[in-house]
Amino acid sequence: MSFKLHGEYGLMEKAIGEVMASTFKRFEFELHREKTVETIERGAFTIVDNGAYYVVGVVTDTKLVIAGSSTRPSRLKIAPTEIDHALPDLKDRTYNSYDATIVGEFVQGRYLQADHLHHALVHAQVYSMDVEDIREFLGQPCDYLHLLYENGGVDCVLSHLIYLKNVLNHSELAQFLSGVVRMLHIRGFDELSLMVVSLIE
Amino acid sequence: MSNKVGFTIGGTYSNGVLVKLDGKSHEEIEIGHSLIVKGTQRTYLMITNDIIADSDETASVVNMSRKPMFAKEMIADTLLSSKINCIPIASSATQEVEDARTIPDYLSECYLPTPEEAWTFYGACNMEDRYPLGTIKPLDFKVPIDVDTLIQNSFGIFGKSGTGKSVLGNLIAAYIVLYSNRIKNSQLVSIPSVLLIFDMHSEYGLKLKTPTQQVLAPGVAETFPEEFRVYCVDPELVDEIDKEFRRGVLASELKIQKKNIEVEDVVVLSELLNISGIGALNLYAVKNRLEELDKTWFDALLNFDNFDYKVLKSKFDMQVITSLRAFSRRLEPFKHFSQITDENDTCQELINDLKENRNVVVTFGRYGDSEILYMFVVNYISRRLREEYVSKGITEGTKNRIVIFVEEAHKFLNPEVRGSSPLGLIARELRKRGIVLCVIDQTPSQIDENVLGMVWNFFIGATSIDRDVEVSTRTLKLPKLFKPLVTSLRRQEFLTYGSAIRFPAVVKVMEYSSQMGELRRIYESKYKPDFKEYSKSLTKALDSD
Repeated sequence: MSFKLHGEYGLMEKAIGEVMASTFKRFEFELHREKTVETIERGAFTIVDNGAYYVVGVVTDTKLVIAGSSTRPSRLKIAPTEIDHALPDLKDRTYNSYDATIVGEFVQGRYLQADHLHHALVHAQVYSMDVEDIREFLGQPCDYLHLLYENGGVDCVLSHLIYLKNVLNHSELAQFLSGVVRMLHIRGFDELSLMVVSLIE
Repeated sequence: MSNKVGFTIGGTYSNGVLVKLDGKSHEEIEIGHSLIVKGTQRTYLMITNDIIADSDETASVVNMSRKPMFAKEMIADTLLSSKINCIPIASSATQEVEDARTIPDYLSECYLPTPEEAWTFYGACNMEDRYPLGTIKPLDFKVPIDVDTLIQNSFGIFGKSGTGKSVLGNLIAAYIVLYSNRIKNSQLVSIPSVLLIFDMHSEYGLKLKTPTQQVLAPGVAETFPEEFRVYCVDPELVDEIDKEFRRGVLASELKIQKKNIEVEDVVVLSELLNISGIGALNLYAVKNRLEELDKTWFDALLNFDNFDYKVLKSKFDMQVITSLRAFSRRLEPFKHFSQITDENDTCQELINDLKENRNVVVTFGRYGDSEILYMFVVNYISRRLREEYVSKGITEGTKNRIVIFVEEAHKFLNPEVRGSSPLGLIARELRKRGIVLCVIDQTPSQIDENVLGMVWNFFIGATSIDRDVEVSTRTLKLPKLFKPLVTSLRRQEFLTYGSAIRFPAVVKVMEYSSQMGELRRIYESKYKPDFKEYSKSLTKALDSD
């Protein structure tokens, strides 16, 4: 079955960040500075435009990066939204950096889960994944939760499921979870799947 | 309902095949369900004998979760898995169907049978010699019974009270009647069969009743009155039968003449009457001297206490008098049985009916609960029947087969009396002369092993006594696997196996009323005797009365 991407992943203005480092398991991207401070939810889907193919990632962690001599932020006692005006120099030296686990890719109209062959290219643009693309990505039995578990632990897996609850309707979520249980069972993660279905609300 | 049940995940030939359910709850599969497994080289017929839900630890965790039912739904089939254990019954490869001697390969698909698949294994009914016994679960497929093969040897209907033994017995009797008519009306080389039914509770001769004594439907004799002669132990039944059987039947009272009663007829009741072996021996020794006291030795024994002591002393020594007095007291009930008379005896007439291919029901009516009379009558008639057939040379040939239906069979066929009881002797000696038994009993474990060894077809209803389950499944290939089936049978469900059914099956017996109606229609369209001939024979029989 061949798919078309719904999101506008080629448009620079839609990009939320840029890949700064990558392995086959994960990539790190820094958030573009916009007018307002943005945060990316833990467990959110992102997609990296690598040109001929796209790498799908799930945000598992974040950190603040400071360019220059200082290694930690100082107390400013002003609201974050005022920093841009009050301290424009600081604005250019602090970045929100995110760690994402590679859970699949989109190549030649097909989605692959877990058994992806590529990593994210440095400086490739990162986008929030379109809801329709997420649905299509999840159209096959979910086979990537174990990767999130290995990289981010149980909490990360649960965050991802909470994220999906807001994206999928009830029956889609139920179908997704059934697939999760089946694939985790095959991969020997029965305890994880039992925990996941027991804790989800 | 989807046909797919699951797939095989292992098992052994001796313990059964394990099937993991897939997309089905174990609430949907019953013990006794027939299933098909498509193996790599063969297709298997199997019967479920156990249901296993063994994910107990997982279920405990799920029970503590935030949304237990939601979680349960998610992990059903994977972490909450259910299995069933199946008995390999038969296998087919191309056209060949045989007993299963292998088990299916791993991950073979298991599903509910289609009628075509059931047909491949059990064959089809033709209402000529293969009649529908019942339907297999969960399919509405009718398993045929080969009546010709059935009546070649003795067969048994077992099960505790209320399981439907009489329903099945009546149905089988009707099939035999129909099959015999087919033989009589065709050029087939087989010989016709005739029934002798000892009908303890008047369910063959009159009406079939539910366990709560509500009338369910007419028995086999009322369904085919042209084919039966009913001998009533209870005289009141004669009028009732004349009233009920609208098509006319030859019903008459059963009479036994005292002078025809032999010592053996009484001695065989020793166990029931609590008569010691010595007492019985005395009777043989003193029979001639008793005859000198009264019209018959039996009269003398019944009235023994009435004779003058001096007269008795002149004929018997003291020990014998004491013994005979005890004997006489125990025969007290016989004084009140109007069936035992001085005048006439209908037993020879009954045997003549059988010889003339007329089916006979000996029905007991209100005397059905009189164990002593039931045993006496059954033994009396059986003894004369045996003598009649034994006296014939084996070369005389057999003009017809006789199938004797006997309820509470263990009373006549238990190890203690089997050697002396006429039915025990018939079971042992007369199969080759064409007399076989339909043994009907609640407690097959009390029947002598040698008799059970001659039973070739078993119809086993629910029973919960271990010994009975063990005995009734003993001749199956994998007996221990069938035991759970027997204990879980419902009313009118029978585990059936033997030479007349291709493979063991758990069947729900055909719906009685409609099936008898159907059989009656077949009978009327194909075999009903010419009316003139029938009325002629009726007049002749009445005249002879």
